[in-house]
Amino acid sequence: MQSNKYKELLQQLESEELEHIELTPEVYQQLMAIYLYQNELSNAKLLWMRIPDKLKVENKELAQLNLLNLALHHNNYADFFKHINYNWSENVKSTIDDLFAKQREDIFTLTGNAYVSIYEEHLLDMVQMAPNELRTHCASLGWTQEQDGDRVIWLPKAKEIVPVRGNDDQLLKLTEFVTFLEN
Amino acid sequence: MPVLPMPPLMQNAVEPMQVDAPPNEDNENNEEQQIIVENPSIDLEVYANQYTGIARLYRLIYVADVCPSLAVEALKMSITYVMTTYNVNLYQVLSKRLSDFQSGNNPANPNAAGGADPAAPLANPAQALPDIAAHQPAAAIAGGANAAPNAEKDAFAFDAVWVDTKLKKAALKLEKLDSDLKNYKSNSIKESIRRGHDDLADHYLSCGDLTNALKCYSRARDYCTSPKHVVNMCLNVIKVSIYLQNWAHVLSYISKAESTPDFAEGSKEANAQVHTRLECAAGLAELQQKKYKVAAKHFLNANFDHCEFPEMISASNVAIYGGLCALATFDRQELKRLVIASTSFKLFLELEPQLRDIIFKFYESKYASCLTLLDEIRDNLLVDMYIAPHVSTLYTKIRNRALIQYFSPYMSADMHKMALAFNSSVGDLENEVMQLILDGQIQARIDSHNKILYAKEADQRNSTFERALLMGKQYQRHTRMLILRAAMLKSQIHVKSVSREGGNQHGTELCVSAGSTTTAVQLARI
Amino acid sequence: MSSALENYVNQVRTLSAACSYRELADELAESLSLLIRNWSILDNVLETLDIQQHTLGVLYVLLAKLHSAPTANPEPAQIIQLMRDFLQRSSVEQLRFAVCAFYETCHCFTDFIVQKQLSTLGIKILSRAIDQIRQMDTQLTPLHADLCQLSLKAKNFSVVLPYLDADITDISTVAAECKNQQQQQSQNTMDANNDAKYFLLYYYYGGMIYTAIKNYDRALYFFEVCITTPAMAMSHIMLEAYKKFLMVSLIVEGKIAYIPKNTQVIGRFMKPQAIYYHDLVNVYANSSSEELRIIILKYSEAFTRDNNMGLAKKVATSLYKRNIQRLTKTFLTLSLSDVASRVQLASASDAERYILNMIKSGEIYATINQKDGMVLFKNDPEKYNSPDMFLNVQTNITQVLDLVKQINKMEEEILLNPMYVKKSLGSQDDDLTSQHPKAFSGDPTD
Repeated sequence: MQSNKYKELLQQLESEELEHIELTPEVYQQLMAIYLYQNELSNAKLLWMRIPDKLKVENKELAQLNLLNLALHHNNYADFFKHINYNWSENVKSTIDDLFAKQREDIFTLTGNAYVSIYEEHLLDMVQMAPNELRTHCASLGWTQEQDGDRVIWLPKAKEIVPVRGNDDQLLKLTEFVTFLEN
Repeated sequence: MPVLPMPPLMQNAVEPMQVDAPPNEDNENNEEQQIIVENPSIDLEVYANQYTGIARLYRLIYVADVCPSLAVEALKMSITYVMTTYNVNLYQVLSKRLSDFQSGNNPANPNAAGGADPAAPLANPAQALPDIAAHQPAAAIAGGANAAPNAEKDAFAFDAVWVDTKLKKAALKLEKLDSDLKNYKSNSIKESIRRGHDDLADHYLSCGDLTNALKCYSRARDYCTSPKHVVNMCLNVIKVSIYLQNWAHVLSYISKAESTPDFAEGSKEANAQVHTRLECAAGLAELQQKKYKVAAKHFLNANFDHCEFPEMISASNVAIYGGLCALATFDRQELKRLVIASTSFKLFLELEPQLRDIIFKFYESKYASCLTLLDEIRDNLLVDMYIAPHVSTLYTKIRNRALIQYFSPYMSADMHKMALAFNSSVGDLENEVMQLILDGQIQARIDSHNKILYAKEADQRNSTFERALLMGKQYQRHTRMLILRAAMLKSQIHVKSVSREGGNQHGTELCVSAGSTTTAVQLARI
Repeated sequence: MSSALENYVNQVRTLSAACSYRELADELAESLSLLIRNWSILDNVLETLDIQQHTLGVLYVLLAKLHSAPTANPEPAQIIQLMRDFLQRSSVEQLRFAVCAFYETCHCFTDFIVQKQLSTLGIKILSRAIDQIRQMDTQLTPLHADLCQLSLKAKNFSVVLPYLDADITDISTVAAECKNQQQQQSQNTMDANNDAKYFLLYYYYGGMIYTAIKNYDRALYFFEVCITTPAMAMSHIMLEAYKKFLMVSLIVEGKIAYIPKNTQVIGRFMKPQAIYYHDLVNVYANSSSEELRIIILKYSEAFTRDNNMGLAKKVATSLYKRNIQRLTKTFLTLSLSDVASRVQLASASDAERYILNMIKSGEIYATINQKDGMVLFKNDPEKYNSPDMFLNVQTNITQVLDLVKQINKMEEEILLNPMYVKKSLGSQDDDLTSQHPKAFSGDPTD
C-alpha cells in the first residue's frame, strides 16, 4: 500500500529523534516530508515547533518545507503548488515527488466534488499549471468546458466512487448472521 | 375629626404573598411602556361601560398610558367614575395627571381634549399604571392644592371640597364597619362576622386599598359556614388578586374554589355562573403567564349566558383572548372542533365579528386577508391592558402557524407566491421560514436561487441509523466514564485541599465511603 | 562514612541473594538519607551492584542521586543513560516491593530533565517505566502524568498517544501501594496526597495533547474527567481544565450541553474564576460571529494569560463553520454572497474558501457553481448500505458488547465482595426491623 510506504522509515526516524539530542537537519527534513505526504498536518506543525531555532534559520530546505506545511494547513493550494517548485535535495526528493503527485490528484478530486462549474483562471491559480497542461489534464478527466464571454468555464465531473469489495471478514460475519437466522 | 389613616394606595404596601408577583409585573411594565398606540378605533365610552369598579378605572388608566389621542378623554371618564367611589387617592393622582396634561399640551381649549394633538408625547412622568401610581400620591397631594386654581372653570378641576368630604365619609364608614365587626366578634356570630369582614373589604376596595381589601376578604375564610361561603370568599380573593396582578395567587384560589366540597350544590344557575367566572379568571391568569394554550381552553369553557362580571372581564374580552390564544396554539382539528364548531363560543364571537372573520379566514387558509384583518385590529388590542403585552408574541405564533399550514400540503412552493399570500417580501419570508426550519417546525429546504421551498422527505432508515450510531457512541462514552469513575472511587481519588504544584497540605481528610459500596450504587444506576 | 555504604552494599547483596525483597525494601527505605548524604561517592556504589540482581539496591541509589541532583549537579547524559540502563535491565519482580520509591524516582527524573530541557530524551524512558510497572494495559499509574508532561514539553506525541487512547479501568495509587507494603515513610505519605494531583494532571495534560492534535472529542472527555473528579476543594488544575472544557465543548458541540454533576465545586469556585469563558459561551449561543469576534478581542488579554488564545481562535472558526452547517439544513441553494452575509464573512470568496474546506473535510456536502455564484447544498450521501458502514456498525456493536461484559464482570466482583454482602445483608435486616427501605440508597459522593 502507498500509505505504508514510509511507515518503517518513519518509525526509525521518530525513535531516532527520541534518543538523540543533536539531530542532523536531514532527519527533520525527512520527517517533515513524510508527515506532509501522510497529511499528518498537526504532526508536521508540532515537528516544526520542536526543530531547534538555529536549524530553522540555517537550513533553507527546512524553511521551504515549512512553507508547504503552512500552505497545506491553510488549505492554500496556490501557495502549495508555488512552493513545491523548488530544487529539493536527494534526501527528500522522492517523498516530495510523491507528495506532489498525491496533492495534485487530491485537488482535482476535490474540485470535481466541490464544483459544478469553475472559471479556468481560478483553477489555474489553484493548481499552478500551464494552461495547456491543465487543458490536457482536465480533458483526460472527462471534464467539459464552456465559454462565458471571454472566460473559460470548466464543468468538472465528480469521480465515481469505486465500491469497496467486501473482505473475508465481512463474509464471515454475514455467514454468521445467516446461520443464526436459519437456526 | 378623626383623620382617615391614609390607606396605602393600591400596591403601595407590598404584601408578603405578593413576593412572587413583582418580577412578572416588572416585565410587563417594561413592555407596556414601549407601546404607543396611534389610531385605535374604539369607542371609549362603550368600552368603559363594559366594566365596573376598579376594573373600569384600571382599563381607562391603561388607555391613557398607551394612547395619547385618547388620554384626556380616558382620564376624564375615570375621574368622573372615581368620584362615585371612595378612592380619593386615585382621584388626586388622576386630577394631577389631567391638569398636567392640559396645562402642558392644550391649556386653551381643555374641552376639545379629544382632538388634542395625538402626537404629543405623554410628558407626564407619572406613568400612572396602577402599580406605579403608588409612588406618586405624595406628589399628587402636594400638587393638588396648586392644581385647583389653575383650572378653575374646568368641570374636572381638582375639587378639594369633594376630597375633604369624601375622606371624612370614608373614615366614618370605616369606623362604623370596624365597630360593627367588633360587635359581631364579641357576639361570636360566625355569619355576621363573615359579613362584617366582607363589608369592610368592600369598603376598602371602594377606597382603592387593595391590600387591606385582600386581607379582609381572606379573613372571612375562618367564618365560612357553608361551601357556598367558601366559594364566595374565593371569588372575592380572586377578584382582588386580579387587580393586584398576582396570578399565582389567582390560580391557587381557583383550585381552592373548585375543590370545595359540594361545589355542585346550590342552584344550577348560580353554579354555572361561578363556574364561568372561575374559567375566565383562570384563562386570564394563564394568559398573563404566557401559557396560551391552557388559557385558550379555559376561555373556551366559559358559558356565554352566565358571563356577567363587569368587575373583572367582559364577554368580548373572553372572545378576543380566547380566540387569539386558540388561533396561536391550536392545530387545525382543534380549531375546528373547539372553536368553530363550538356553539357556546360562537355567541362570544358574535360580539367580535372581526375576530370571527379572522378565525374563519385562517381556517379557510386565506392567510393574506386573515393577516390583514389581524393588523387592523392590532391597535384596538393594544389598548387592552391584559392582552397588549402578548399581542406581538401571539401574532408571531399565528403567523408561524399559518406559514406551517400553508406549506404542509406542498412538495414544493413558490416563495414569490407565498410572500404574496403573507403580505411580505421574499427576503423577509426567507428569514422567517429559515427560522422555522431551524426550529424543526417545517421540514423543508429553501432553493434560494429559484426562490422555491422544497419539502424535505425524512429518510427514516437513514435517520434511524444515524441515531443508533450516535446513541452507541454516547453509550460507550458514558460507560467508559462510569468504569473510570468506579476506579476513581475505588482508589479514593479526590481533591482534598487546594493542590497547587506540590503544595498539598494535610487538609481535612474527607473520605469517600468504602469503595465497594459506592461502586455498587453507581452500577445500579446504569 | 564509606563503611556505612559498604554496609549498604553488603545488605543489598545478602538480602537479594536470599530473595528477601520485602525485608530489603523496608531496610533500604530507611537508608535513603544516608545515601543522599554520601552523594559524591554513589557512583562507586553503583559499580558494585548489578542492575538485574540488585534492582532494589540500584533503585535507591538512583533515587538518592536524583534527590541530590541540585547539589551534585550531575551530567544529564549520565543520569539519562543510567535510567535507560536501569529500565532495560531491572527486575520487575523486585520493583514490585518498592513501587512507591520507583514512582518517586521517575517523578524526580522527570523534574530533572524538564529542568534541563531534555524532555525529548525522557519520553522513551518513562514509557518503558510505565510498561514495566503497570499490571495491565488499562491501569493508570502516577507516571502517566509524567509521560504526558514530557511529551508536551517535547511537543512529540507519537509515544504517548497509545497510552492516552487506552481507556482506564484501574488506577495505581501511592496510597494503595503504601497500604500493601505497610510502609510509613514520611515522603510516601506526602506522595499519597499527590495521587489526586497526578490523576488530574494526567487528564489535564491528556486533554491538552488531544486538543493539540485536534481530536476534540477525546479532549473533551479528558477535560470532563478532570473536572468531575470528586472534590472537596478546587484544584487549580481543575480550574484550568474547566476553562478548556468550556472552549472545547463549544468547538465540539457548539454549546455546553452538559454541566457535570459536582456542580458544588464548579458553581462555587470555578464559575466565578472563569467568568470570561462563560461570557464567551453565552455570546456563542447567539450565533453571531461578529459579536464573538468582539468579545474575544475584549478578553484577549485574559485568554492570552491563560494560554487559551489559540483555542479561542478555533472557537471563532468553529462558529463560522457551524453557521454554514446550519445553512445546509435550511437551504438547497444559496448564493455565495448570501452565505457570506448570513454567516458574517467579509466576502463571497471568503465564503467560498470556507465551503471548499468544509467539503474537503467532509463537514458539509455541497457543490459550488462559480458561473452563477451559487452553492448547492446536498444531503449526506451516506445511505448506510455500504460494506464500510456495515463494518463500522459491527465494530461499534462489538465495542458496546465488550463494555457490557466488562460492566457485568465488575458487578459480579462487587456482588462477591464480602464487604458488600455484609453491608447489603445488614441493610436488609434494617429494612425488616425499622422499615427504612432506603437505608442504602444515599451516595455521598454523587
